[in-house]
Amino acid sequence: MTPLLDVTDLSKGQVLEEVSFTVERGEIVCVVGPPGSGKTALMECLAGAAEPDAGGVEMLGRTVGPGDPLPPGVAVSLGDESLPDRMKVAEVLSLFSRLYGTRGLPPRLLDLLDLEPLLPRRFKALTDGQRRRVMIALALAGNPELVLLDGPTTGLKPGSRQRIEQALGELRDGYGGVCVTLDDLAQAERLADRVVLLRRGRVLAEGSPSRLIRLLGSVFVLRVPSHMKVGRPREVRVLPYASSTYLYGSRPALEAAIQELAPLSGDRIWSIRPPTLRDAYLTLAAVPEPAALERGR
Amino acid sequence: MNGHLWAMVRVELMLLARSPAVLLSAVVLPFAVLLLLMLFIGFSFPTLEFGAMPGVRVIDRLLAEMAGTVAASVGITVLATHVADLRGRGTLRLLGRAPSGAGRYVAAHAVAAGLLVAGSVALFAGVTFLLYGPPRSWHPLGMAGAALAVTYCAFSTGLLLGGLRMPPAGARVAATLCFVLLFAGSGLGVPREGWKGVAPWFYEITTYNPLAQLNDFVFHASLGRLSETWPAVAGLVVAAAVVNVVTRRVFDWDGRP
Repeated sequence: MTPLLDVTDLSKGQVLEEVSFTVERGEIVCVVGPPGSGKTALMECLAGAAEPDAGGVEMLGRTVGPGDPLPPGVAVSLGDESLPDRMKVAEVLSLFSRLYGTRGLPPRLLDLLDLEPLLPRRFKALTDGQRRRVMIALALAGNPELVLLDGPTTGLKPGSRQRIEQALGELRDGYGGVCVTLDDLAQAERLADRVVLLRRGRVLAEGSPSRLIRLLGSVFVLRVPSHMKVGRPREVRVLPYASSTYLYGSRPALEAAIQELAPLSGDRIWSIRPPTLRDAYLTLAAVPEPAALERGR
Repeated sequence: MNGHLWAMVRVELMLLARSPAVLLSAVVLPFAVLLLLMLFIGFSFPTLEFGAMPGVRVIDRLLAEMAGTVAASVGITVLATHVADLRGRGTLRLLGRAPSGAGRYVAAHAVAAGLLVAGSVALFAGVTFLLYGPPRSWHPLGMAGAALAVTYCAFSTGLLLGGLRMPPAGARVAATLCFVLLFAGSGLGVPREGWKGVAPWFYEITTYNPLAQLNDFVFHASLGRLSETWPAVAGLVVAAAVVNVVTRRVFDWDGRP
């Protein structure tokens, strides 16, 4: 089956380097990476707001080149777009429904995004989370098959975040495809069917969150504050980062490492936890080739 | 598809009507000019008759002048600021992606600007007719046609200014400066013949000012005559058409560097 979105070797200056991935019907694909990893540049290239240097994009089976309008059925919401302060939510939703030739947002999505109380209010009077919900509603007003969202939940409170996640889930259940960029790996793990891990403009790895976590093998994780000197515990992979040092290994190996740390940490209680997508990202970012991880398992 | 256009026009009009700048340009400006002139020159000023044109009062000329001035103010200041503001917010990008197309968006702006000018002129005409009575000889269709030409020229300028890649604050300053220069050089609301005896140098300026030429054209059209400035007006309309072509090339929907 033809994917809804097929990105092939997309490159743009120093920001994106041969990025390739697909979005199939009925799935949410999260492009995840820290700020500066090229997520927004990628989304802008897909939305036609920026011109890539090389690579190809196919949406709904149609090749979309630089300057081409997006095919009908594709909706985009970029993070830096908003509406005039004096515009009311009901007016803008009605306008965009007219422009897209639809009957407006389905009641289920109106409920999920909790837009009913916002309809008579002007854009100026909305909080950041409410504005983001309205912008997503606008993207969905055209009843799209493929939705591209740039950081829809960045900086939002848990309530707004959850509503947006539910709305995205609804789209997937409606057999649409969603491509969303996120900073938060925990959220991506919760939300995504597939994840594209992006680092410095390159795809680090792609797959379902569980597959990417499985790349680490049957390891557990121990997080140690960065000021503590860890040394080289046996059968433990040590990844030092600015705020913390991460230790990956089997439970007995980590328990042995805790024993080594005991003189430095006093009565501190250490917790050993199963790995998350964040651990997969940190580990994949630290090894030159993800294949090396799989070989090392 | 016309439904799309009217939906956009309605929203544009609602947005513009909620803007204090629009109220200032379209409603307050003509009455403020009339009031200031009466304060400086005298309250009988509007009913004075032009010596050269028996039966034509100053207020008749002022009505035509204000129609041109409001068209310039709405077309240049309001439109440029509005478009630059929408681009700064990314709303232009949103609208550009909608299937209605960029052309329809620009058309909606043109219609909204035209309706705004028509509403403003109708209000000013209604009030002045109530206060001073209607002119003895008046050709509303001629005046409307001439005011439409001024609106087109001003709209083209405003769209070019608003469409250039500059921050909203820059567009606001550039557009306001452009209008203030045009207005100041057009005779400041005083019929330009009035400056002939008082300040001949200023009268000379008004003969080169595009807004003064356009206002003269509107005034004569309101009397059912063709102004002597019609070649200049024709040149301005052609220039506006050229500006439209330039705007098409340089108009920035994205607002990105």
